[in-house]
Amino acid sequence: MLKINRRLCTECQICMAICSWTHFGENTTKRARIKVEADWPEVPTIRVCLACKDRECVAACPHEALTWQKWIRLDKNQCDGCAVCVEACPVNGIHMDKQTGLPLICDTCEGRFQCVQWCPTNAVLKKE
Amino acid sequence: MTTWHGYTGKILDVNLNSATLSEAELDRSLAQGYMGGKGFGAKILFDELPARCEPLAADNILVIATGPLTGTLAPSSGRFEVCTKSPATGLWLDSNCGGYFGPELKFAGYDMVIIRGKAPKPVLLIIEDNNFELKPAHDLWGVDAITTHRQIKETFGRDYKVACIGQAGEKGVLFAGIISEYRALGRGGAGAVMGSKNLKAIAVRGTGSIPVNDPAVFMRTCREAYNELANSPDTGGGRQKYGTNVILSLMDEVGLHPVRNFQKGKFEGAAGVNEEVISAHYVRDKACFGCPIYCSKIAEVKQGKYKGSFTEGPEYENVWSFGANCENADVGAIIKAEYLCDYYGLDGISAGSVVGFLMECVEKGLLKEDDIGFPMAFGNDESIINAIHLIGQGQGPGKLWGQGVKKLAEQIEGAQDMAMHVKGLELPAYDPRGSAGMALAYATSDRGGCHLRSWPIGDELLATRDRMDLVSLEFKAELVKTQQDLFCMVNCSGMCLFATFAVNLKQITPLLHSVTGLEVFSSSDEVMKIGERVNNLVRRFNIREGLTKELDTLPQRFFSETLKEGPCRDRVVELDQLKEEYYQVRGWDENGIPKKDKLKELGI
Repeated sequence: MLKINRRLCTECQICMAICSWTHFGENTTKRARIKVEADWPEVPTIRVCLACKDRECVAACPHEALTWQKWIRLDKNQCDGCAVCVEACPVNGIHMDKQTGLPLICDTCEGRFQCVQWCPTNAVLKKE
Repeated sequence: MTTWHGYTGKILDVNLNSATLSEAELDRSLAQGYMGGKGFGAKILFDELPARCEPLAADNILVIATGPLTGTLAPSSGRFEVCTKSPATGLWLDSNCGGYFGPELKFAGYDMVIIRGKAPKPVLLIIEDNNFELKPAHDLWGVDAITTHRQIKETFGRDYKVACIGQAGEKGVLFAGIISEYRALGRGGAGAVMGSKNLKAIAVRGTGSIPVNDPAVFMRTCREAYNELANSPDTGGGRQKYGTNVILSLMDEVGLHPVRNFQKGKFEGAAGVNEEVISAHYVRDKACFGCPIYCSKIAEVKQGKYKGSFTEGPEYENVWSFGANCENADVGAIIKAEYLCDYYGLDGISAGSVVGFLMECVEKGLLKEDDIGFPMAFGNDESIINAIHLIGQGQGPGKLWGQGVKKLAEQIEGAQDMAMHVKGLELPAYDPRGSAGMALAYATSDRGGCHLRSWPIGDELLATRDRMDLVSLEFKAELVKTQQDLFCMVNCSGMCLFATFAVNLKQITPLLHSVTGLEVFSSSDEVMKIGERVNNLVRRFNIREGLTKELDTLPQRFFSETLKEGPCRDRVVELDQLKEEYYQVRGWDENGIPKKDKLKELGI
C-alpha cells in the first residue's frame, strides 16, 4: 500500500503519468489512480487510496462491486459508475475515469508500485 | 484523416477581429520539416506575418506551440513556445516556458493555438477538450497575473491551466511577459503583444492522451534518459539542491558575474547572495510537468524588511539582475522583486537591467533623482522595488522605463553606452569580456541579448571533459553554431534545455522517433538539421524585418571599457573575427545572409 509524504511532492505529475501508462498504455495524467492537487504556492495534496482499515468504499458500494484482496478490486460487471465509493472514501482517494465512467482505485500496479519507482523525491512510498 | 502519434494533429486558429474560432488539421510536412514549438512558429510567422508589421498592431500573430514530446513521459517534457514579432526588438521572438499549460493543451487535443487580430474588448480564451470559446474578461482587466490565475481557477475549475498577462502586458510594457502557472515566458515582450490584442488569458483543460507509436522503445529510452538525469552531478545533484542558482559562486569566482550594470567585475556582496544563502530561503522543491530535475523552488523571506515575501524561484538570472547588477546584497529584496515581476507580468532580466541602467544614469549625473522621484542608487534595495511598481503599473516615469534600455537611452543624452542590450533585448548574467563564446552567442542570438540560443560557457567553464579555453577564439564559432542548432531543436521538441545537460541525441532522437513514428526523426543528423533549418528561416525572417550584420554586435562598453578587478580585468571583446568565422560556419555570406546553397541544402 502507499504512504504519502506530500511535503516532498514537486508536482511533476510523473506518478500520474506512469499510473495512466501502466494501466491503460496511455500517455496522459488524466486516467491516474493517484492525483496531485496543486495549491500554489502551498504544498500540494496527493489523493490516492491509502488502503484504510475501514474499507468504507467496500461497505458503501450498493452493487457489491468492490472487494478487498491485497488491494481494492473492482468488478466491472457489477459497477454502474454511481460514484458512491468516491463519496464514501475518507481521503478522497477514488477518482472517476472520464473514458469508462468507472472508478479508478489504486491497485499498487498489482504489487509493482510504479508510482513509487518513478517518483523522483520519495513523496510516494510503499507502506510495508 | 492522418493518424498521428506524438502530435494531436489539430490546430486551433483564433481570429480576434471577428471572434472566429476554427479547427485546422496539422500539416504532415510541417511536422516533418519543423517538428513543433519554435519550428512551427518560425514557419507560420515567416509565411503569414505581413513584413515589417507593427509588433503591437492587430496584424501581429501569436503562435502558441507545443512539441511532439510535450506532455509525454519523456523527462522534462512540459515545455511550450510562444512565437511572435517582438515589440522590444522589432525582430523575431520566441519564448519558452515549462509548467503545465503545454501538456494540458495537448490533452485537450491541440498541438498549437494561433492568435490573430485584436478583440474589441478584453477577452479570455477558454479551451476544454474540443470546445473553445471567447468570454468577456473585463472583470479581469487590470488584475495582476497571480490573482488572474486564482480567479480563473475559482470560476472555471481548479484543474484549468492558465497563461495570462498582468498589468504590464495590458499597458504595453515592451518587456512584459506572459505568466503561465506562476512561471514566465518572460523575454522580449510577448505579454505586450497579448495585451495589444486585448487577450487577457488562455485557460485550458483536457481529458485526452498522446498516442505513442512504439511504446517499447519509448519506455526503454525514457528509462535511459531518467537514469542519465539522475546520475548527472548537475541535473541529479546541484540543480536539484540549489535550482538555477547552482552556478552563482562559480560565476562570481571566474569574474563572469556582471556587477553595477557591467561596470565592475567583482561583487563585494557576493558572499551574502550565493547559492547557500539563497537556498536557505527555499521552503520546498517544485518541478514542471514530467520533470525529475525539480530545479524550481518556493522561496520565502523569513526575517527582515521583506519578511513574508515569497516567490517561485528566485532564478539565477533574477538573482543577478536585482542583485549584483544593482549591487544589491539583500536577498529579501531579490525575492520580493521577482514576485513583483510575476505579479505585474514582467521579464526579470530586463526589469533589473532597466533599474541598473537608471542607477548608472543617476551616478553619472545624466538623470537627477528629481526626474525619478525617489532615491535611485546602486546598493539601494528600495530603488529596485519602487521602480518595478512604477514600470508594472505604467505610471509616471515608469511608462518610459517600460520601453527598455535601448529606447530609454535614446531619450537621455550620453546614456547610449550604458544601455546593456543587443538588438533591444537586455543582456543576461554573463560578462562577455570573460567568455568569447558568450560574446558571439549574444551578438548572433536571433532574439537579441540572450543566453538560451546557445550557452557556450557550459563548455568553456563547466564541462568535465574537453573543456575549452574561456577567452580563446578557437572553435567558438563552431561551438555556438552547433549549440544554437541543438537548443533550437530542443525548443521544437517540447523538452527542456536543462535536460540536455545530461540527456543527449542518443536519447532525444529515439524519443522523438518512437513517439511520432516519423521516419525523418530516426536519424540524429536529420533531427539536428531541423534545428539548423529553423535557425536559418528565423534569420531570413529577421533580415526581412530589418536585421543587418551591424546589429549582430554588443554594447560599446565591451569593446572599449575594461574591468579594473576580478579575473576578467583588462580585457575587451574581440568580435570581428568570431563573427566572420561564424557566418562562414553557418554558410552565410559576409553580410550574414544565408547563401542560396545553404537554403537549398536545408530545403527552405
